[in-house]
Amino acid sequence: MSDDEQLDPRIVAALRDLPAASNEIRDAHIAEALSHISPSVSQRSAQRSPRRWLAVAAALAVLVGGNALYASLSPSTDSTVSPRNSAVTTVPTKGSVCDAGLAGYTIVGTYSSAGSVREVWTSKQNLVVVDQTSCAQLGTITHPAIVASNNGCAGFSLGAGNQAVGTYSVAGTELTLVATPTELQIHGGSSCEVIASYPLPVGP
Amino acid sequence: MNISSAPDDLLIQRAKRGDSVATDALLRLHYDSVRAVCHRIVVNKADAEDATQHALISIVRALPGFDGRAKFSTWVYRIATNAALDEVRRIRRRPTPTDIDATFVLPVADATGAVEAQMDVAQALALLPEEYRTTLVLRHVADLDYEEIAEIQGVPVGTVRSRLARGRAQLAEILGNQDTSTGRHNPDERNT
Repeated sequence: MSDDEQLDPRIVAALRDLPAASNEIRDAHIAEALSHISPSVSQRSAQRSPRRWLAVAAALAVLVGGNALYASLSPSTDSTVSPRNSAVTTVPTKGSVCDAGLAGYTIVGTYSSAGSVREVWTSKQNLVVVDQTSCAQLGTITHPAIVASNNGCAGFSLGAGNQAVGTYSVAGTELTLVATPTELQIHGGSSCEVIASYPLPVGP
Repeated sequence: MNISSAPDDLLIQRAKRGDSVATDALLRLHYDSVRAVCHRIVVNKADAEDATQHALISIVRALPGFDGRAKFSTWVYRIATNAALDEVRRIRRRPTPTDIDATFVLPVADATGAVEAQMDVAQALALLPEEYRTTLVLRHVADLDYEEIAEIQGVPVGTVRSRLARGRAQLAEILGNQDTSTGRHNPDERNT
């Protein structure tokens, strides 16, 4: 656009020259934002200090620093989605910690339980829950029999204290996994009803 | 398809349904853009990081209501801009500025009037009126066209043009570019 010529290119370059955020800060920002997916969580978080990301960053530096390093060093099969975000080339950090031992599985998401982060992975046959710190498998859940449906959850409210783990597909049917304080729930259908529920895995 | 290589549309649809993995990927895709806008509008680093955090939270909260009428990136920029401006207003309400990063020295032009190689554009930007600064950032940092900026700011395209022209002139003046300056920056000219 010709009007750009009216601003010194060095000024434009300087405007765009912003040092990238550290992995810890970026992960902390995103982790905090993701906690607001749940309305119940967002109400509590609204009372938090806006500088909470600093504390979260410090914690994440310890918890997922190794993960970020892993993600940055691992040969990635992902393509860069946007040239304006060249740093974004890896799978979401939360799901990449324990994938080395889970060939054939794809990440569903994570949830927190007993002070630890759990990863849930899915294959054609089952769900596997692993501890993100040790990558130890805590439990395996065989997929329940489901009625094929094209309707995924169109949106529903999580109960207080529940966590949306993620969505996944079985036999072409999209399902949503929710972690309550005591169990894992599989939701599906247009009304997002609970199709099956299982006690939270606590160990092998 | 790996989720990080999925097109925005697919990620958006999944994120709108509360898919945390898709939301995570979507936030990472747009993180640098959001942060750049916040830093250039807010200036102070710590406050800009807070604005970035607030913007990301606002995006997550507003995602279910994203209707696709605007481009997703434009929608994201609007939220980031609003979060940054909210932060600027919050800063103004502080009793006294105590953060040393919030203060700076006005750069001085050299004898030839050329822009100094080491000029701090971010600090000069902070001297501009808020509407000029925001318009410049959306144009030159976010690469938005006039129509998109007008949509975000809720003003006619003509206003965007005039804000850009005045903002550029003032920025160049502050930085000592004598091609467009008429002397030292005069705060009284801000709203002319």
